[in-house]
Amino acid sequence: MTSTVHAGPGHVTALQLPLWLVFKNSDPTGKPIYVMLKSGDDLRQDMLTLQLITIMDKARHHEVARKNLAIGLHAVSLRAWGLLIQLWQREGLDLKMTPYLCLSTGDAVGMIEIVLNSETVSNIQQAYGGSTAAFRDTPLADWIRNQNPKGTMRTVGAGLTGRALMRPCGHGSE
Amino acid sequence: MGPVDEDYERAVETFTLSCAGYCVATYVLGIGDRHNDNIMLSKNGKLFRTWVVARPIASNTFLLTAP
Repeated sequence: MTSTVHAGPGHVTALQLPLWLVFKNSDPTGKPIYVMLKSGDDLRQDMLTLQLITIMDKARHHEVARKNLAIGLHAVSLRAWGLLIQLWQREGLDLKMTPYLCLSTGDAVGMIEIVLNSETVSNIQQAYGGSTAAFRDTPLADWIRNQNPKGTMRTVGAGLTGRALMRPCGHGSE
Repeated sequence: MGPVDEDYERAVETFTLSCAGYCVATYVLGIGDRHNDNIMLSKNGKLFRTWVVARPIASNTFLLTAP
């Protein structure tokens, strides 16, 4: 990261409100880096939780998580670590988690990665169903339908594994 | 359903998986303050939780007893 490009739509001047920052990537082929600078909350809690989710989830995050956890929890022995990591992947599950990046930089100050192309459930429910939306199944399903119109093929990805198990949890259209 | 609707089918699948994942993760870690401003959904169907700020574990407020 080299410099701030601009302050985006979330830009506010009050100290307690989050700043939406966009950093130019020092790698000329890289994408800009979207970050929320936040004060007033203890982001160490977020960091720990996200690290634990990362541990449950995937192999490719191992090294980062191991390093961070080793700093925070000296008691974790290597042997215990071997039992901790990749809890889900060892069972053949890819649960499509989003462990966004989070860094506490001081007393109740820190940065959080902004996940683009996403919306809060609150906003979706208001837009797709009004005040009673939370009690209905359709708003989230409708929103996903509208974001992925028939006949388009934007994504090319690997197939999913370990699916049938989790069926009952979904709000999907089936 | 055909190959042309692949994005949608995959998004629904992804939603189902990530919903299950966060159900388990937040329950096991005892994370509270889960309301619809703290849960986000990406266009490709990924459901995820944000703002963990409200005290995980060892808290007597906002602690959920069920996923």
